[in-house]
Amino acid sequence: MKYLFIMLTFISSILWIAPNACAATYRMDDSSTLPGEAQVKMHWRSLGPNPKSGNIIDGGTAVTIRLKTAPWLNRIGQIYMVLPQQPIGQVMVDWTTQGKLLSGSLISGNRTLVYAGPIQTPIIEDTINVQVHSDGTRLTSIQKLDFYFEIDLN
Amino acid sequence: MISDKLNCMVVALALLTITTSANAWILTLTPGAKQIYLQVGNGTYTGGNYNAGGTPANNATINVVSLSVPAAALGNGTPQPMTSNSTAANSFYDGYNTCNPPNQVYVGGWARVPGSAGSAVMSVSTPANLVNGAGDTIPFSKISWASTANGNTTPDIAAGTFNGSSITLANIAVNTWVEDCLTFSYANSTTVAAGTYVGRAVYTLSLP
Repeated sequence: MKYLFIMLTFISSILWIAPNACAATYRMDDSSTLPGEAQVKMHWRSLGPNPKSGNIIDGGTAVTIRLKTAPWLNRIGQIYMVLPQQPIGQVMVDWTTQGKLLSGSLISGNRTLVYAGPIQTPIIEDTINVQVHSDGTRLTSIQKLDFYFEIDLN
Repeated sequence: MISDKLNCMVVALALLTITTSANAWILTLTPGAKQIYLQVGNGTYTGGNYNAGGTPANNATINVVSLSVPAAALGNGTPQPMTSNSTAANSFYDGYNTCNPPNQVYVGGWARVPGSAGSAVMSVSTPANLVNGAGDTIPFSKISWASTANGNTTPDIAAGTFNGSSITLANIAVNTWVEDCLTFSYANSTTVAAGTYVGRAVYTLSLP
């Protein structure tokens, strides 16, 4: 009887916590993304500084995104790509996809929706062509941009 | 209802596991390359002036500064003004009428680096002498220049005299534009053999 009481207490606690967990945002496992660390050689947008294009630098590369979605199979959610604020100031990123994920743009310190709908496969994979734009006068040494993905569950 | 909550529970418990293995997708950015621009005499900008978004282009022109000393004045110690075939009058910065060719030769430049520190060095170097076809010589040190610009009485590029070696003309802070107009003169302090004396001054802008 005592054992049954403990079990019921445990289950009721889980049932109380679980709805909150469902509505929360979770960071996703993208450890299978290729390449996990891509090199982007930045180029000045203009040959010489000028008032129109200033000191903007651009660079681009292709990345195959692999998101592990198995924990949310048959759930409905929204997946976002996130880029935290950067020490080199505002970094703007835009990308095009092959269709599994949404094309879009992102400014550091924000997130952008890349998928919305039912999670029907354990992995969502897409190759994106990403372009990065930044202030070249603030990028004085190699800088790593740590992107990540998070999912909002309905 | 109970089934939904159990599903959520499973999701919540699963997340406790996968969150610890989540990775960041990383882009490694390498800085832009250093850039410099130097114009001596005629130059080229495409797409308009700098302030209109124009960009510099290569111009292979080598301008000539020359004079012909009248026989009556030869070696009398009165400096003789030199003129050029340069037609560069307006700055590519904003189109302002900076120089007055052919008496003045436009010299300007800028440097850009990732960051805001540092400077480029503008210099000029010459051989020891100008030489004519017979091998007679005139020391390059007989040629001097003044530096000025329309609307700017304080030159950024130093006036001076060639010394048969290298001379520093200006330190250009990164992301700044420096320009002046050089007026050359020949000292005319000695009598030399007749002939056409030729020599080349090479202007350099270097960015460490």
